[in-house]
Amino acid sequence: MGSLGMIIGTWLAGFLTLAILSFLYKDNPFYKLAEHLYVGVSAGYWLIYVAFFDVEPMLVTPFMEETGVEKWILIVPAALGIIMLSRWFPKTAWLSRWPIAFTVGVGAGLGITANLQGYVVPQVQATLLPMTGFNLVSLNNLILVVGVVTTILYFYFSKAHKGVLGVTAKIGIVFIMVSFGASFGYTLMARISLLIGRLYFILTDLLRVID
Amino acid sequence: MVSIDFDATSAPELMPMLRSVLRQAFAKDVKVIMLGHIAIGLPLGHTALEEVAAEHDAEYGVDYVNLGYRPGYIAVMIAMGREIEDIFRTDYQGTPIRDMEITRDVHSYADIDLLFGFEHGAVIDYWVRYAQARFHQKMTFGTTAVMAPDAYPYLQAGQIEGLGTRGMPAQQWGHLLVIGFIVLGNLGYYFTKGKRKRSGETA
Repeated sequence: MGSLGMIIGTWLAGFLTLAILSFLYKDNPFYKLAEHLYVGVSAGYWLIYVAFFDVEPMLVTPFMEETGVEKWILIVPAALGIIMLSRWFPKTAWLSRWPIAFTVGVGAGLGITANLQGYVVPQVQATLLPMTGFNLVSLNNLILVVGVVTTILYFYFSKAHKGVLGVTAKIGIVFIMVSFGASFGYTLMARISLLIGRLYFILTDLLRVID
Repeated sequence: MVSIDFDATSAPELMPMLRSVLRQAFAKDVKVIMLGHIAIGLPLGHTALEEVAAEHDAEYGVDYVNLGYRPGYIAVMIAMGREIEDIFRTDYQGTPIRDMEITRDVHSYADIDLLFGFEHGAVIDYWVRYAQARFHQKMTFGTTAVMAPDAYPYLQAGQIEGLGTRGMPAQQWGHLLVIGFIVLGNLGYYFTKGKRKRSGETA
């Protein structure tokens, strides 16, 4: 037998699980309560985490402990953070463009090199595959190369999809559909996992039907 | 290093993977440094870490540690490539990382043998593009099924060492059941086609 807190927590979790699942019947106040509770608790959690894992250790504590440039440079991110809040007031909302511009600039600057270095080049490299010999590896490589080339050609819209381009674009569609099918299949599996997780909780922790 | 990049919405899929990896790590005396990029998911990771550590009599600060959460995936990942202490001065409890045996000499990715990320979203892309491409950090991932098609190209290109793909048997049976329903629905549609045509119903 667990502690009183555990028992109350389990019953609460059971009630909220059933409240969410009740949406399968139709929208109702229990579902709305559980949904709003989830959003509220998540927002509260984020706030606490940002305060204790970011503002306090990355800004407040270093500002108290550091000296010289390392101390005063912290005013810049603090000011940018405060300026971001100016969006709440229509008259000063334009000020928030500065921190947003800073964030977008840094993101774009880092993103360009990262996408080339970590995505485009390695993925192109991984597509330049040998197709010599008659074996399964060569066949796999051939499928991969044909799939990549025909899929790219499908997105070439500067010329009408007729003749050779029409045929390759059609082959490209097949590869795209296979990709969508795989994604859908995996998505389905994910949803089943979530259902299994909740049913497992109800049968083991709540009802204790399974040991 | 274990990164918790999921929350309660993906817990049924990723928590069993996380527990398995932690059990393997502690059984083989591998040190575990946990951190996370999804604030509301990190407590789940910490719960699993404490549970599995207790099973193996692992000691906090010696065999494992939870560094906690810092916002801004990219900034955290890049800073860790230079000096981890710049971004994580303390663990989640506020203990300085230089005061703990496990992190005393850990400075950057160069001191991390393997990063194991548990992913339910785009953080995997950031790990690969910023930590792997830039700092050559070896990494492997356990992803939700939804994320798996996005992660396979990284595996195929050799950018990541591995990908957790083994499904739960119950999940596979559920999948087969859904396929059965789809086939059954289509058969029903096919065999009632003539009837609907006669009654003038349009598809």
